[in-house]
Amino acid sequence: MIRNCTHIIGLCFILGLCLAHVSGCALGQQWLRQEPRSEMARCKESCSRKATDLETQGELRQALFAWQVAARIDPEETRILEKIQSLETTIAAAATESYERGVEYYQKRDLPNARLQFLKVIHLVPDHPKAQHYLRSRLHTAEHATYRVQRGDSFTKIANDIYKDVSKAYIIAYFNDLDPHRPLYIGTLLVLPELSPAQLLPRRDLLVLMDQARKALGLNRYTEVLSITERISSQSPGNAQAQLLADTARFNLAKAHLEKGSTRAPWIVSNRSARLITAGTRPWPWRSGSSIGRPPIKNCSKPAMRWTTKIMARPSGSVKRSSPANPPMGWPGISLTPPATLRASAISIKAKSPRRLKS
Amino acid sequence: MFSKSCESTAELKHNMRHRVSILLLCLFYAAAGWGCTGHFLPGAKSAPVIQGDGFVIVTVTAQDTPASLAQTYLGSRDKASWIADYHRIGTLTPGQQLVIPQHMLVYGGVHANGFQTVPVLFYPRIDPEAQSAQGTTAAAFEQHMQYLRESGYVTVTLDRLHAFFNLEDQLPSKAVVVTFDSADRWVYDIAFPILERHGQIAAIFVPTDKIGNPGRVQWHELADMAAKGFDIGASGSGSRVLTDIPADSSADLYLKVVEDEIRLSRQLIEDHLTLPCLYFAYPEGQTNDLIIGLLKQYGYRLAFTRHSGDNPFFVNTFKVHRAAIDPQTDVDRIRQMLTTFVPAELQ
Repeated sequence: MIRNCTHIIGLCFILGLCLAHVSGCALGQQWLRQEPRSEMARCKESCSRKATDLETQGELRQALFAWQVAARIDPEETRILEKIQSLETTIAAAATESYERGVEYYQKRDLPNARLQFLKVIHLVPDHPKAQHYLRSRLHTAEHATYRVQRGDSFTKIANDIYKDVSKAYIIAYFNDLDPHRPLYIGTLLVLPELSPAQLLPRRDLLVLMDQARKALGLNRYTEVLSITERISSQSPGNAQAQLLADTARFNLAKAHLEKGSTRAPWIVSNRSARLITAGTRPWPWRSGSSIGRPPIKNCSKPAMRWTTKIMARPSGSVKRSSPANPPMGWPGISLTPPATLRASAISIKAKSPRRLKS
Repeated sequence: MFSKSCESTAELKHNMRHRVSILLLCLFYAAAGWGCTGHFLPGAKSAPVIQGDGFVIVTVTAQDTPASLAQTYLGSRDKASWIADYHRIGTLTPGQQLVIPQHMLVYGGVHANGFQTVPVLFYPRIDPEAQSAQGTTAAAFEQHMQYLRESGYVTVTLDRLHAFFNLEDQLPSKAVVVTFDSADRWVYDIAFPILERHGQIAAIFVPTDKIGNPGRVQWHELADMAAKGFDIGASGSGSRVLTDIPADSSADLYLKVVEDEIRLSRQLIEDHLTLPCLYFAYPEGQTNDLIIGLLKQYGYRLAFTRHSGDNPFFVNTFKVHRAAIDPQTDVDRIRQMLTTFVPAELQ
């Protein structure tokens, strides 16, 4: 009887343990919690103390965090919940006030004080997008001058007025992500880049002249192109772009004369242009896809180029036509004497000259 | 006699059952203990006592350090400063209940009494002892790095610096960046081993045209440094000052040249190192708004000048200041240069 009782008690105990085990040692955990409860209480007190200290130091966000930790340890303590609520309200109000002050300072162009106020906002509400924008963008760009476009303005006019350098027109357009060849809209706010005098382009009106030359080329006014590029070359010796524009103009002039059946102007081709034409390539190595400075030559077929090359390969006797005493019409100031290298190449090609040239 | 033997057999069986019961009990206790939270296990690492929304409370064990806790609960040892800054402690006491914030508490290093600034040191050149006339000597550089380590300064990567500027990372309060703008051999032969010895890292901005030439670093050496956590940034192709416009150049031609310097240097580094190249140092530190516009267009994140100044989170990220270290700079001067906090009344 006694044995049976012992067995029954033993079984009950074992069953009890089984239950405890199945329930994830709930009893054990509860027992474990009994012991560190005082630890948790200490932790809550420490968090509350820390929160109060941080609040005194002005670290309101960190204080709020500490109160939130304390509230998680003891969710039923109303004092902590009230603290959290009041702190949240204080933070929001202080951030709003600082932001408004910051904007006021900014509008008065008092940038150091504006920065201080926006920093206060970030300290309280770090993800405040407007304060961030002021601190990281507007306060920086405030150091840039701006200009609002008025009636009659153009990039060149603005560049001349602001920088006393029309060549800056291109840079203003680029900096504002605008096309320098398109007209400006009235009211557009342009940010004027900071460019020190050391970074000035060497020629004040170089870009304007270059634009003029390109426009003239577009209108097939080749003599005008030559005249402008000569002016550019005089201001900027060896300017590669001007050289290319001039070469293109000369090439087209030669082509036009050929089409008219005239052989008066074949020597108006620079040494470089002659080389390019002889090689059967166009004399303008601009980037593909770029419209900047691209000459408007159309239908310039390979046969035409070959023809031009053949015309260029005239015997040296034709040099007489380029003497100053007998200049061709319409190209003032352009030397018509072919370079020595070209003359040599002309002689070498002479043997292969077509019948028409021989005649 | 028979009854006596029967009794002894029954007693024996009973004892057996008793022992089996005790054994089962022990097994259940062990299993129950195992099924619990693991507090019983000797030498166990800290387990979270409370997991809250945005924080966890743990009981610190003897093995724990801020870095190990940061690795466990924040996913990266780099975030040890989150714990250290909140508690304003450097070491932990075993048994203490520690609150670990699981999100940033200090954004941009802004406190009620001021804000953090990250000093960026720039070494133009480091020479071995024998040729100490032109650059910082190797011994002096070693002293500087030793001072940084012993004083608790932590060199951080440019990714972390960028995250700090973007309010996405909280840097250690004594964060610093070391930089070089050179592809000369001293970067790999002198500076790199010294930095490694002191557990520091640096950012190297290389003019890409020079890499692989005699007397310059090789691509595999840059890859070696990058693998050790060093940043490899661009500094143009050939060290030409980007703001200088050649006398015979037109505006668009100049733009194209500068564009190529910025684009190709990045492309070369990325192709050789198969790592993103997002940082740029202006040759000779010279820049203007046009260059900055181009850098932004080509996806760079930060660009470094050679003007000294503070680097708070709101610094112009394309005009990050650097303090140049000349050959006469000693440890005292370095100490003065390492300003990491700007006092301001932000209450």
